[in-house]
Amino acid sequence: MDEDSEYEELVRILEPFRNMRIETGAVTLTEEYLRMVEEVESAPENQTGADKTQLEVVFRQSREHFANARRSR
Amino acid sequence: MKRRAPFVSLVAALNRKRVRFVVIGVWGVNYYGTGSAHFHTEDRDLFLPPDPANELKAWQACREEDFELWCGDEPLGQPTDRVLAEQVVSRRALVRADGHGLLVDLTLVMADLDFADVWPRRRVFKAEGVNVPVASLKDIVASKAAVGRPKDRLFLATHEEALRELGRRRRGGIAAASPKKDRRR
Repeated sequence: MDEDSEYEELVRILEPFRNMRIETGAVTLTEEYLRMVEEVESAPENQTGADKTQLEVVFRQSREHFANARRSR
Repeated sequence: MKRRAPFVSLVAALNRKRVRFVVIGVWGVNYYGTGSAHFHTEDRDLFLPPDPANELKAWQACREEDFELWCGDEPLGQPTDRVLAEQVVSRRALVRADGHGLLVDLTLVMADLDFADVWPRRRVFKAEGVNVPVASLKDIVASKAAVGRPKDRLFLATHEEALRELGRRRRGGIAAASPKKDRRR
């Protein structure tokens, strides 16, 4: 498949999504979600002073992973 | 000596200049997550108070760390002085710091939340020995819900599912802590 036909195929696949009505505006959060947020926030590992160095490590690994991605077909 | 991650170096520079800010947005949420509750983003959003002196110090810190400053599609005007900072603050304009493959937004707006309210609820986490002030998870989620752009809606739905999955795994983790399971590791 050449680049032009790939592009046309992509446009065809995306067409239904282009016609979708995308909602915007304020969202009402569910009670379950708010309770989970509260739980996460009150966890011992999420209090002031907690070491989050690992986050930068995970981000760097993720970045390298995507940078090294190659098309397989 | 190992070099710090660029974002952590920038936070250290902001701290040295005593800039008041909190990390918000998706990257802010990441500080509260683990594993599947981490979201990849190249953006960092910093929420600053509407204070020209503070804004100016933030710009200086960004430049010291080799970030270029942009306002809209143009480089931030010269000279970067108090007058310019006052104009930016009065318009609540967004200044973007671009460098080291990162985009760091210095925003003066966080939906309908005031900096004065968000600041006392912040957490101060550590990253590579540097204090990182992060808005409370509740505030970050509330701001995304209030704005409700398609990307915010998508994020909230994904985050909610990630938290649900985290809860399931935690509950499963209690059962998995039996000696039989441990031996298989």
